[in-house]
Formats: sequence, structure tokens, C-alpha cells
Amino acid sequence: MTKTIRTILLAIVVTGPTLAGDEGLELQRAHQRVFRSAIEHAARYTVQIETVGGAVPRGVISDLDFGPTSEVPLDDGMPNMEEEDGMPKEADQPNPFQDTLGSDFVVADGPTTGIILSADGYIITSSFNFVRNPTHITVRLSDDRRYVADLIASDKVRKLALLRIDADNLEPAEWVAPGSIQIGQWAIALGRGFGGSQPSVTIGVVSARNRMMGNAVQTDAKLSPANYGGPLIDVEGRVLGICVPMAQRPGELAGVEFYDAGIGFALPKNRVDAITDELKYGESIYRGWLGIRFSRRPMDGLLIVGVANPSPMFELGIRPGDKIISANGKELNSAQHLVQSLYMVPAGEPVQVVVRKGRFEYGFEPLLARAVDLGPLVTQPDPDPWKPFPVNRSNKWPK
Amino acid sequence: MLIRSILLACVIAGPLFADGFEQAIDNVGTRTVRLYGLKAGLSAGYGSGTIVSDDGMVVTVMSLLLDSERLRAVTHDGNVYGAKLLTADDDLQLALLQLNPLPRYNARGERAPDPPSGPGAFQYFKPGDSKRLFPGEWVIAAGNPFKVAEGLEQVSVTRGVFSARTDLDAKRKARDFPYQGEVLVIDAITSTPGTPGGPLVDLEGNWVGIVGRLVISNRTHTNFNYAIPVEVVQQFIDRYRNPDSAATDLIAENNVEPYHGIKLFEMGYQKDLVYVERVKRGSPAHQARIRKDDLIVSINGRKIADIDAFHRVMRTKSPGDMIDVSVIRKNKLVNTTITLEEPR
Repeated sequence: MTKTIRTILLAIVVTGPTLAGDEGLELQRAHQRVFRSAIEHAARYTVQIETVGGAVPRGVISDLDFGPTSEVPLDDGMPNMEEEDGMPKEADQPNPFQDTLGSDFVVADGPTTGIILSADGYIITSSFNFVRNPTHITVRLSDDRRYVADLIASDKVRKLALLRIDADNLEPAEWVAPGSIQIGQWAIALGRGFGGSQPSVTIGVVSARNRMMGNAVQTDAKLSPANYGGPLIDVEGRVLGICVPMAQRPGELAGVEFYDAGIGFALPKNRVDAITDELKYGESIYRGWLGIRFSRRPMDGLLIVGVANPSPMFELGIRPGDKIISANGKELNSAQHLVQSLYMVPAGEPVQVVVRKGRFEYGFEPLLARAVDLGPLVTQPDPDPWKPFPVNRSNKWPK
Repeated sequence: MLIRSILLACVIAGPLFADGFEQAIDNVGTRTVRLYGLKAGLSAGYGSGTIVSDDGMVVTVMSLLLDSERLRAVTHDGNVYGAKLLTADDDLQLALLQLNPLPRYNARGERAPDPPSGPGAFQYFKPGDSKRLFPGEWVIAAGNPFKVAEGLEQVSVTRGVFSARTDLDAKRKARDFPYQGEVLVIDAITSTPGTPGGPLVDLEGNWVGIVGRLVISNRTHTNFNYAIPVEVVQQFIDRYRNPDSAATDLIAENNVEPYHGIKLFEMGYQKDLVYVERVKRGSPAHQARIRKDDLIVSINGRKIADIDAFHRVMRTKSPGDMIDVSVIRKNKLVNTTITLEEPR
């Protein structure tokens, strides 16, 4: 017995190093062959997008996206009025609720990347690629055919955009079923952002699933403006997800600061499917707002000091003086916390909030609104407060 | 007895599993030098170089480091050499150095023996073939990022894949980067201080490029990880070795635009976009059916973003050249070919 083992060990000693060296090299060559065939396959449905016109957006950053509050800051919890010539200034001020880009990254105007979604000319890409608001968009297919493209609609929360070109018989991408994506499997990102006639390639693995509120696959393949909108593929050339910039805060550019850092995100098939019908109808998806302003004093908690009228919260009877206790079942301890629990919920979708009015807590389910649909801030408490039905703590609606 | 055999096996067999990168890592480890010079202002005072001849010629990138009077190069075995600048090329942003032994003295003032020098003293890279790289192939880069390697320590090695081959369109410190030729884009992070100048090799250890200087890509506004292809580096070395036969293959940019007959819409609100205001009757553009109000979006497949870009491209063309022009007309893409004529 012992002798057998010794013989085996001896065999390893003698043949080990040289054999293992060649095997290692063969293994890496095999990797390269597998990558190559996957890339050649996926290059066929990876398109280059070029834009003309437009400009770098101004006012790209706002403390609303980072600060202790989101749904609008206030210095002292008091109405922000500066008397000037005896007139309150607030009426002149622009809407305090404004969608911002969430980053000071300066967007270049180089080419970008998209994926053929359907044979009849739909291209899915990232809304990041159109932040400059270009006047003309062209799409170049892998066989160098070029088309003028229409931007049908975009989802500014999931950072997706849908283009249409006047072409038939395109070869659409094949997608991996989201449930079968494994942590640790190879992930290859393709992009057309560096120019040239072939996609650029970065390789890593799937780092995590269900990131960003269950929306995204995380990868350590280097993602950057060179491949946002392009596919993250597996070793068979099928799409694991579409690469987009993302971070745990709102803003169309939020997450670009992670570029090339080994922290990248891609949206799998089910997240894309969930919105493509809406986008095909030309309906864009925007950041969702509750339309409330919080006190900045930490001891106040989530004390509401202003509510936009109209706004989802105002319509439900929430007024300055009320406090928000939880959102979507999560207890909140700061306004920032609230933003973090809502940054993936677009306008038009419901949120469950529990609000304390006086001695009672009530559950509400407002639909978030677009910033442009919010009215001016009401900062005075209601003199004749409406009293909603009390609900029990289990978040059930009253009969 | 059994345990002793196992231990023995481990000792003799060493790496029981080899992952295939040994040759590549050995090559870059023995053929990369660490450079040290004066730290001045924003320059880092250190860098990397690649040995390209058996008598100690080293290629690196241009930098303020090379202005140091006492430029030093340290080889993989810890030997310190003086480095003399042989030549540098502003357009390629490459420099060629010669390593020479430095007289060194120990604490008692006795002269230490010189490290090996002269023909045959150095392990060096022969040029490989960067054109054979396919996107997705492994590459290894070496250098001394953040000068973490010191003394007898070897340079740092990083692994990634070859991403793409493209022309360089980049800025360095808000100014256009002079080198605009082809580069090898890689997905290993080499845009770190101290890495540029080091070699890039493929899986088999063949030398394919020199890690380029830190730049920001104009196309993406991101730090760019790239290498100058070995063919360009080799041309640069050959030009130094045979200065007479050197063919200057740089494209001379004319100052005169060949005649095309297009007048662009250069006033007004959207002056950046390349709209055609007028086409001269009988001109090359007229024969190519370019029309008023066409929006020119690309020439020879390259995007034309603004009027400056249009003139810049036109100045590189000569009479007789045929250029492929894409225009947007009534929301359709139209392609045509213009044959340029003598300027008039």
C-alpha cells in the first residue's frame, strides 16, 4: 500500500513539472480559442453607434444626489424665503425637484455600443450614450452597413435606450436565461467605443447576481464608456446582460466613476424584457419622486417640512409636520436612506410608505411622479388636517 | 516514511501545477528594467524600460525622467547601470537608452566590480508580431507601478487580454497627444505611474508592444490602457541604427485643402454640425451628387463631428484621392465617393 503511494508520488516528481507546464500552456491556449469563438459570434450582433450634435450637459451635479437628503435639502427646516424688496423670493425659484446626472464625469462624443434586439431593426443600448442629446444618430452593423437611427425612448433609471433602424432580417442577440447565470463564470464584455471595425474586448468573471435591488449582474470585466450599451457574454457568445453604468443612487451618469475598476453592472434578459414594450410605444421612463422636502436637523428624523403640490404625497394628504417611518418595508433613519431604497423605482411605480401623523402611523402606496409633474412646495402645515384611517403595523390596508 | 516521501515530492516537484504563463512572466521579468531619475515637479522620478539588444539598449517612453543627469537603470538581478539617452522621437513619444556600467564604491571606498556589460551581457527581446494578436488573447505587461519594486525585487506583472487595435486619439494634460498611430488596447490597467515603457508580451512570451504614456482617450474621456505596437518601436530603433536608410513614413499634412467644391454652413446656431450650404456646379462634390443641406457625418468611415474635423481630414488628402463620404439627407444615410482635384 505504502509502496504504491510512493511509486505514484515518485511518478509525479519525475514527470510533474514539465508535463504540468505544457498542460498549463495548452489550457490557456484553449481559453483563448474559446474566447475567440464566443467573441466572433457576439461581434455579429454588437453594433457601433455614432452621434452628431448635442453638447455636454450643464449642471451635471447636484447635492440632491449625494447629500443627506434627496428629496431636497433645507438648511434649517424653515421655508427657504429671502425677503427682497418685500417680496418672497421663493416664487421665482425653479422647481427644486430636478433630475440630475449624478456625476461630474464629462461625457465624450466618441462612438458607443449597442445590441441587436430584434430582426426588424430594434437596437437596445444604454441611455448613457445619449446624455449629450445628439441631433443625429447612426448605427453601423458588424458588416459595415450604416443606418440612420431613431431614438424611440429611454429608461433613465435602468440606463437603457431603444433605437430603431430601417432594416430587416437582422441577426438578433441570443440571451442567457437569468436564472442560469453562475457566480464565477467567465464574462466577456464587447464594445465599439474605441473605434475600429471590430469590437474591443475585456474579460473577467460574474462577481455577483441580483445587485442594484435585484436588477443587475455584477462583473469584474472592465466596463467603461467604451462598452456601455454593449453585451456582456458567456463563453458561448450569448448575452449575460447589457452593460450599463450604475451606482446605488439616482442619476444617469451615476456609476461611471467605477469605469475600468473591476466593478461593472449588466442588466439580464428579464430586466430588459420588462421595459422594452413600454419603450417601443415611445414612453420613456424617468426617475421617480415623492415630492417632499425634509428637515435637515438630524434629531428631526424624516420630518417633512415641504410637500410639492401637486405631488403623489400631497394628494394622499401628507403635509409638513408628518414623518416618514419606512419605505417598501424598510425602516428608515435618514433621508439618504430613503433615496437609497428608492433609486431603482421609476416614476409611475408604487412605493409603500408608512407615515406618522400625530400619534398614529398610516400606510400609503403612492405612485412616484416625474420631477416635471411636481408643483411648487407647500411648507405650511394643514390648518384643518385630514385624518386618514389608521392601519395596523403589518402594512395591511384597512377594509 | 510515507510523510517523508510526500514532503520530498513537494520539494522536488516544486510547482506541481503550472498555469501556462511561466514563459511570458520569465521573459518580462528578465528583460524589464526599472528607471530612476530626478523627481521634478509633477514627474514621478521613476519609470520602466524594455531591453532590446544584447549590449543593453533599452526602449522606454519619453518623460521628464529622461532629462535627469543621473538616470539609473536597475536590471532584474539588481545590477545598477547608468542610462544614456541615445535618441528620442517626439512624434512617437519613444526614447532609446544605452546602459553603461557605473563605477561603484563600497563603504571603505573600494571600487566594486562592474556588473556585466557589452555584447552578450543582457537578455533581450526580439520583436514579435503584434498583428497576429486576436481580441481576447492573453497579454502580460510588466513595469514598476508606484515604484513598489525595490532592491533585488522583480518588476510587477499584470495580466489581461488584448482588447482591440485602434488609432490613438487622446489627450495628455489637456493637450493633444502627438502619437496618433495604431495602438494595442488592453484590459489590464497600465495607466499607472511607472508602468509606461515596460514590455507587453503575449501568452507565449513574444514581445508585442511597449506600454504607452498616461493619456485620456478623446473618444471615451477615460484613462487609456494601451501599448505602442512592436512594429512601430522596431522602426524607431532601426532608424537610430541606420540613420541614412531611414524612410520617414509620417504622413505630411498639407496646408492646402484639395478642391472639392463644398461650401459648408459656417454661421449660425448649429455651426458645429457639418451642413453643406452650397455645392459648386461641375465640382467634384457636384459630380458625386452632394447636395445643399446634406449633413456630412463621415469621411472614409471616420466620424466627422464638426467643421474643424472636416478641414483637418481634407488637409491630409491630395488631389486625385477618392474619399468615401456619408451624408444624412432627409433622415436617410447616403454614401458617395468624391474624387478630389487640384486646389484652385
